[in-house]
Amino acid sequence: MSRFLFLVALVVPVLLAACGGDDAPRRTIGITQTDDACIPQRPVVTPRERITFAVTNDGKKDREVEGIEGMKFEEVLVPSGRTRNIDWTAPSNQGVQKLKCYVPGGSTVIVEVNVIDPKETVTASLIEYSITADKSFVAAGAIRFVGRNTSQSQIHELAILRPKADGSFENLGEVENIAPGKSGDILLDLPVGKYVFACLIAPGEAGSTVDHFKQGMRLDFEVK
Amino acid sequence: MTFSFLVTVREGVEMALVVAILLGYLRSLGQRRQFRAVWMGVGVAATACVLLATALELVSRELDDRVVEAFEGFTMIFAVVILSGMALWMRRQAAGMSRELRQDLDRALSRGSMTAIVLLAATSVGREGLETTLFLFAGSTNGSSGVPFIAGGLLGFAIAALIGAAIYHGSSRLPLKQFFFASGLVVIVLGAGLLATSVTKLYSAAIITNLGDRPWDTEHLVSITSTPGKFLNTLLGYDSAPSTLQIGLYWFYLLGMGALYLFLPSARRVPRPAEVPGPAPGGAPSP
Repeated sequence: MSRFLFLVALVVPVLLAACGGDDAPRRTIGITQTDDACIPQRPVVTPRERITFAVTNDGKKDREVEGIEGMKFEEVLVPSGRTRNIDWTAPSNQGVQKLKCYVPGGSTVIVEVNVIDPKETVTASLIEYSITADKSFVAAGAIRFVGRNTSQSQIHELAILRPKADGSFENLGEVENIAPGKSGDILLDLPVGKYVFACLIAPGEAGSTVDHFKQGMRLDFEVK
Repeated sequence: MTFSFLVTVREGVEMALVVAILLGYLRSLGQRRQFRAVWMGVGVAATACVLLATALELVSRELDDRVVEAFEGFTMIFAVVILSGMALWMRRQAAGMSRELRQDLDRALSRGSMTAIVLLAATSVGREGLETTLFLFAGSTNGSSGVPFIAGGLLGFAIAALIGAAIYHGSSRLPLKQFFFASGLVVIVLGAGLLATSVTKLYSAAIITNLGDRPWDTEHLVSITSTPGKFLNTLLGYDSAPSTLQIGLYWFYLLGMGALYLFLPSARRVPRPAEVPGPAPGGAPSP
């Protein structure tokens, strides 16, 4: 009887663990811990997205990361100078998942993982040296921006900028290093306003000798 | 669902293992009637965890991390102390037993010993149970804990209970001497892991401020964040980048208890007449 119990007790968990199979690809989000901060503070994911958090501790003190307020993320101690990779699957509902990033007995930073289900997608085509988009405006809220590199030979990137009053720009996020023929995307939750698509590759980067933005890789865009 | 299952089966097996060892110990003393006390301790601890987690969830508060970690650290040390005492007692009894083993020992336990045993059962369940229930219940108001999640968690506890039952029944088939020997080994290995882990808990609680250097990192071999790594961590105290304090305590306990275990003199038997020792040196002749 006890042998049977033992067999059942061993087989069931092995089956279940095997079924929760982890072969599907995961997106890696790097989190860098310094002595005062944890960056980025607001990564964005989609519902049920499979993520690997690569947490690197660049500070002098050991740090821990732990999900709070219902985030299903068991605590991990990341020793000073080391990296730990932690798998996590986003929940099916939108909202903010909070990851506490702290020094034991010391400073605490909350990394807010935004779970966003984008209703709209805008695709921007990138080529030397211009950007075109399939829409000129979109509704405010969670938006997926896709950067499609239609060039044959040159790497491009797609940055979403917000123009400031003094004429400079605030970089809200970017998809970097898009190879020729490939695409990359980024999710942002944007309020109403005017924005600019841009490629910010400068001379000397990505094998380029020119400033892509100055050459004309910029496009105005509106969120209504 | 797999996630919650793996969390509860892992913590549950540790709880079940300790309870199985305690019950086996009581059985070896012929004290099965004390099982009730152990079960009550377990029941009270489990209920307290569920009530506390529910209450915290209802008022949307969280327990101070440091308090939880300190509780875990101290109860682990307590567990190591009690389990070590039990193991050494069993070893002495096993060594002192003659070939014609008396299976029907009826050794009454002192009140203090019985209290320690019940406390150990309760704190083991409470310690692992607290962190697990807080984790599972947390955020059930924000919609991320559905029925499959809770079901997975309960299934995990059920499987852990089955494993504990299997260990208990399996060990009850062993002849007493083998049972003592096997239990003792399990306790030594468990205890070393518990002791090493206890200082990491106290460190997280900021009670210990420095664990020392971390001389190696086996994260690429067995990741502490992977499922097998977490199981090894809970049951054996595995850490991919252990500190010198953890390493020192682990080996000190393993080798120290191991040595005691191998070289402890056996309990005294009542000598038969032929064994009465001869005359004391320079003393009177024997009668």
